[in-house]
Amino acid sequence: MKQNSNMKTFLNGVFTENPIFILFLGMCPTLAVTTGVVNAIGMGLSTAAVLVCSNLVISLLRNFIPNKIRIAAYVVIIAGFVTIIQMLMNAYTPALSDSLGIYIPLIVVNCIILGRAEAFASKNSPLKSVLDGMGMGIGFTVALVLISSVREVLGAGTFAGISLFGSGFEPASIMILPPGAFLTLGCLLAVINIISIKRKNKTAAHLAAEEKEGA
Amino acid sequence: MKEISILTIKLFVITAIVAALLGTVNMVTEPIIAQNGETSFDETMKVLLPEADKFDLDGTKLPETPSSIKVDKVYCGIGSDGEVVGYVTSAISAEGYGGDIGVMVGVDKDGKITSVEVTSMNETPGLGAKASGEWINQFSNLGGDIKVDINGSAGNAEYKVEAISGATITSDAVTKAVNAAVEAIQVVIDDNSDSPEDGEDKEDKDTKTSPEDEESREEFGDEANDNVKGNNNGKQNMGNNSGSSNGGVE
Repeated sequence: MKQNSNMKTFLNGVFTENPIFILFLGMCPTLAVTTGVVNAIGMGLSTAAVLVCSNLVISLLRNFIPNKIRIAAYVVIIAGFVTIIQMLMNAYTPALSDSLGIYIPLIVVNCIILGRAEAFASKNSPLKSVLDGMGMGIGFTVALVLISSVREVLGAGTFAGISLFGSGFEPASIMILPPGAFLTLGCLLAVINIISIKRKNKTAAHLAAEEKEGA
Repeated sequence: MKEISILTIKLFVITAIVAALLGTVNMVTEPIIAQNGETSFDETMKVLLPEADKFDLDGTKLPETPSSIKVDKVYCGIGSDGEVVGYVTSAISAEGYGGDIGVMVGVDKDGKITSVEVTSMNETPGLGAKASGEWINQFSNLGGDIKVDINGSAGNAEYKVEAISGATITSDAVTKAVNAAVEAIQVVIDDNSDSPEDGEDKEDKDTKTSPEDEESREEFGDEANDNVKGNNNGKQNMGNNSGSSNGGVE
């Protein structure tokens, strides 16, 4: 039973409460970093790492941090982790940190992290908070990869840097620029909403049918 | 009062611990990061001037650059026979579409570009980012004052490169940076060719050596450094040699 609830917490971040498609958090890096699949994965995983660490620490300290200064404390902890990860990336993966550029420090103000700290980690056990951090981080990464796949394939004719169509293909440059980000996000949201409405209708129909039989 | 003290102390404790962690990680990673920077710089220099065995800093005063461009010190590439084979320098343009664009330029001893490398940029993938791909090869074997050509706009310019389609700003920024680098190197070339082999007859601009020069000579233990250039670029406190004479000494 416990296993079930932990799994639920994890999957929550990936599907039910996906930070980008459902919660609409972290829009700025989402739209800016999804110009290529490789960057998206790098950004997503870095954010996930920070999420897990900050969720863990904040959950451990949830009884120590007084309510009145909680935002200040959260920001200090989150900024600390991001800076540490940035230094580690600069030292051990310089190429990746070069291409992510300013977006790594921007993780500090990524609403997902502060949002989950406030909404979840400050009220739940460390284990659950870690699972939530992992779920949200993976949900974020999956969303980023989805968006950047569309943008990169249509806007540059490549996927993760690998040219797909040969030199004759004229990519739609707009997809690589900011308008393309909004267009892609909008279309993906529409698709996701269609799917989830259909599922809801299906479940409702199921339940109605069962009730009828029971009656 | 008590509540405020508790709040303050707790917040202080949290920040103190985070600061300590940051300090530790910084201590560990700082040398590695510096090393990464140096290594990639050294490696790029070798790529730009493959015939050079080693590189020496040149002390010639470099010309003024437009405010959006910064040109770094010029390095002379010395070949295995002790002769100068070319020069390398780096330049940064602040006018890229996504911010600064850094380039390193290799120039042979006749003033022609050997090749250019884009060392840092934040341009749009698929557009300006193409600058670091095959596009940059256009610069090889060109001279200075390169013009960017958009559908024939450069006309009969002696040296021109085609703009990246859809990324004129990037193309302009890179070209400007390369031009500034070549100009700086040309000044060094002219300067070195002015002075004869051992530089003794060079105008005695300044017999009094400044403290900086003393330091730098000690640093590099170069006993044969007799000719001190009067026009020392104040910022450089490294070896102050003219390329050609140093080449003969090693």
